Amino acid sequence: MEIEKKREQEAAVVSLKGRMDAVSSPEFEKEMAALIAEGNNALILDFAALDYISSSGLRSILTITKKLKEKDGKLLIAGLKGMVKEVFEISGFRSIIPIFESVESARSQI
Amino acid sequence: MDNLRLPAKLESLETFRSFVLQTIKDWHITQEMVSRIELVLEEVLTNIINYAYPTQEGDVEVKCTRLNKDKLCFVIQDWGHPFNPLTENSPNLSGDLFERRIGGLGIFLIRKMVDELDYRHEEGKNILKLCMKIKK
Repeated sequence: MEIEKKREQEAAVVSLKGRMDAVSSPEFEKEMAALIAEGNNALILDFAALDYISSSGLRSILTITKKLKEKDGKLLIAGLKGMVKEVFEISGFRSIIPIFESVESARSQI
Repeated sequence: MDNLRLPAKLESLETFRSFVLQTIKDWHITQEMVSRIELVLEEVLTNIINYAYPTQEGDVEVKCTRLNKDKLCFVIQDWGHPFNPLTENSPNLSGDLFERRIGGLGIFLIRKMVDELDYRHEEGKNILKLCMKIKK
């Protein structure tokens, strides 16, 4: 999975490309923890190029959500598609994490 | 019948995935269906790595076959601790309700994606059989 981070004024935008599975999600979790430790309290995850997610990826997202909550921060997700969207719906993640059509619409909610 | 036996480790996941993709490549399955198959495979294998072999090392074997043209069946077996994913819950996580639910999320996703699921423990092996209808 490729992870691209952009630190913007109102939020850090993280674009993910490829597969978030049991192999790649620990690295993702580590990078997000580092972003939060730097003081980025709002994260927008851009999933437009994410093709695959498993329960390992969902667990990492939950861990990051908890870390951000402790700092009164927030996590927003944009651009769900295909099987990633299906897994979010089945697992109930859609109801606990704010989901937006695009990074722009997520940004306007911060 | 195609099968592949490898050490039950995270490092083996990619090889198992390639093996299954190679097996099904001429079956004309939609990308959506392929992703579901990959998800089921990963969730079963990570459960075996975590719960059948929590401390010791061992192998896992994946067989992938096509039945009646419209069904894909996996037989996945390991030689680890008896572990029935259909009845056992993953370790409980502390915290709120949502977190407790997430402990069994892998199993939950498997159940949602497959049409037939059968576990038995025989001759020191965990044997899990899963079938999915192939949607074209």
